[in-house]
Amino acid sequence: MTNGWKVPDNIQEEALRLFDLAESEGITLRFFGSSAIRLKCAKYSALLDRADRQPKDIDCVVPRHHMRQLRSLLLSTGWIENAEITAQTDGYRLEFVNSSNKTKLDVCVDVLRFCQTLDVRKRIILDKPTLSATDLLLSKLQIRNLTRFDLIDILVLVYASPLGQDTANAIDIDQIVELTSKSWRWYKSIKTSLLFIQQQEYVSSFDLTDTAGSVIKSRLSLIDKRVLNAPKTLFWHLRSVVGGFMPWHDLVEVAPRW
Amino acid sequence: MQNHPLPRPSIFLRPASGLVKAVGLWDVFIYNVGLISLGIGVAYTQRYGPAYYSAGSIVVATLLSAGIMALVTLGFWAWTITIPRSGGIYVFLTRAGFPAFGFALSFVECISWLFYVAIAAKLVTTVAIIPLVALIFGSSNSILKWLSGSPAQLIIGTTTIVFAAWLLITGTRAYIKIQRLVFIFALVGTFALLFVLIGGDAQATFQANFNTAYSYFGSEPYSRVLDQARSLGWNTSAYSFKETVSLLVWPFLPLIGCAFSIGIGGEVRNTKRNQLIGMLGSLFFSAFGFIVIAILGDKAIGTSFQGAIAFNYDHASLVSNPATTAFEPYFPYLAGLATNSNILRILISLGFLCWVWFWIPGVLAFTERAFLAWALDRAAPAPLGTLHSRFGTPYVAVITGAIIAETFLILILFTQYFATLVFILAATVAWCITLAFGTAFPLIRHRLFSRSPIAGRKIAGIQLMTLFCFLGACALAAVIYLLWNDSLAAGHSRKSVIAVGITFTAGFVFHLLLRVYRRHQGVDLSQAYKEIPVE
Repeated sequence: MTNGWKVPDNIQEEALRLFDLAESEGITLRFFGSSAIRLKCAKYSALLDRADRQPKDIDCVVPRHHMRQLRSLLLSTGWIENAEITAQTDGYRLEFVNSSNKTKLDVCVDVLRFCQTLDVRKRIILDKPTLSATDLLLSKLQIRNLTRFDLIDILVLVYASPLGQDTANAIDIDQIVELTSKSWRWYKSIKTSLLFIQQQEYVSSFDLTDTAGSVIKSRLSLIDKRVLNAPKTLFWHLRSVVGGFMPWHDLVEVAPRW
Repeated sequence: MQNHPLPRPSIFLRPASGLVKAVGLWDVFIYNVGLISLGIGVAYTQRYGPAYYSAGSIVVATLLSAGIMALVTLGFWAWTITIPRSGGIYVFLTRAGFPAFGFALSFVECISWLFYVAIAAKLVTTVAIIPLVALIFGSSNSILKWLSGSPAQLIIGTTTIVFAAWLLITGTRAYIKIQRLVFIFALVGTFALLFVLIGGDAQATFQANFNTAYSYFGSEPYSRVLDQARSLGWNTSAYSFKETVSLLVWPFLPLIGCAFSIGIGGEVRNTKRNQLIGMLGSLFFSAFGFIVIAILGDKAIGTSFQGAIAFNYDHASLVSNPATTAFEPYFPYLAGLATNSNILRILISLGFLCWVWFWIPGVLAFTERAFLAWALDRAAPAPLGTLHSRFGTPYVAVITGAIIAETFLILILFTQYFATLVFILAATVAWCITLAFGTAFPLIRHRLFSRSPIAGRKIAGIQLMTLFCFLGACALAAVIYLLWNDSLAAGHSRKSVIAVGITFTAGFVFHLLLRVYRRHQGVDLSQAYKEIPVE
């Protein structure tokens, strides 16, 4: 039992089933989070298994104009809604539980609003059934207090995704830099996460090969360098003057139980 | 570079998918300040205080009621950080194991607060629009006559309620954005008011403008007002603490709004800090505003004059030439006479309009959350919790609240049944009982209470929640006593007692009936209440 929920055995299968159902209804649905990383980096799932990193729920994002359809679809196929979350977020966050297998589904609408806000509206169709590798990485690097599980997710994703312009499967550094050059909050978030990762003994902790460790280190290092050296906007500089005296990340709190 | 070994894996070092809550400290503050409503507080206190409690001091009464509300606020703060869910006293009491009381008292407070939505809808015209029209176009014109009538106030009030409901249906974010903007306008209007009242020539300007506008009273209209009031029995005794204590119910009525953010408790970021600062901050800010305006109002207009003109208005039928205004002599109108600038007059009236407006969507949002909580627990018909397919908002709950408020508006405007503010008594009793339960909660629900962020905090060996709730309950009990004995504010006339009695009874009966109905359906309502608090 985890936080009161029994984790179903086939989260990945449930996710893919959900994706197929959404696709058949013309709903643009993309996964992020641990289940997405496992789907995207299926070739390296052994690394995730070794770290005992099993997805415990399904996280996905849909565009606003598909929210109503998705909600109807889910309600008509045995998913139970946490109406309180929907009401309190004006339908920008939805939470469901499958009535038969108890799979938990979190739905973000338009944007991933956590410690930072990642607007994926223009990039949601770059890949399927998950978000692009870049957006998956950003969704992880924005986390303020990375856990062990977040770390292995990041490491596997970086190892599995070369740096490049392949918008679906590569990590597009230009996209990351564009974000961090405009937003000091994002810059601070990513730099903090990258620094944290650098300080971890991840090769030994996760039993990675030296090659894997080296690849991951060089890719993260390149991202770090590009983010640091890229020219910044005026607004970025103005915000940096205030720096940490103003909150630079949003507080993510536990969703209400229902 | 220092390498840190990773922490040992654990099941969850952080919850899987958290939520960034929408309501921050400033939003709590603005929400509560809005629900106190500086405008309504000033309008009512200055309207009734000097007229019927002339030996009482508004300043001291405000300080006393602020003190009372501070204790009440601390009690509700303890509740809302222990059970940080939206829905007000309903979720507190049901999750604490008192479902019948939870529903019934929530029912009472929702009906009571919706009554005040109707009052506010009426005040949009009488406190803001009428003074503005009178100041700009003169105190006797046909528009004013129309505005003073019930049909006009129904049209304007209904429009306001409908607009507020629509705003809430389109989403909390839209509502919060509008409220921030309205708050700025309200502050601008308030600063304009203070600017006028502080002015060295405010008193002379007021008297000159009043004497000109009401020259038909005869010579020295200003003095005539005071003379007529005295002849009608208006009393201007020396300062009396007893009368000041009686007077405190009037600033208390608006100041109770400082604790309303308990209704949106599940949406507040960093609940422990933001609720405390937001609630107490709004209380002290508003109390300070009432006091400053009362002092400056006395300087510019004269507290005695305000009392006299209001007294004359209420007794106009007893004389052939009443020395009063043709409409309720609310403070915005009188303050507007203390300046010759139409711009300042407009700003003052618009400021009051903004303050009055706050109550309407603010209370509808409060009751909407309560209705949703009822429906999600199946303690009310499920359709009440239906979410809008496009906006994701509980639109049925919003519309239900708006319909109830509209019903009250019609009754207020076209019947004499709700002449007093009787529902403040009902709501105060409901809150007092909730705080009384809060006193016992740490003792009788120890396991549940142990999850509270203040579970370990004690003063003189007494749990903080017990102490705060006890003091708050005692404070409210004192106010209930005052309201019970004040026939102007509430009273215990037959009509008042029947209204309050029916509301309480209806709440319990409805809950009982629904419980039986659900049991018949095979649903045990008590299961819905046996859940772990949010955080």
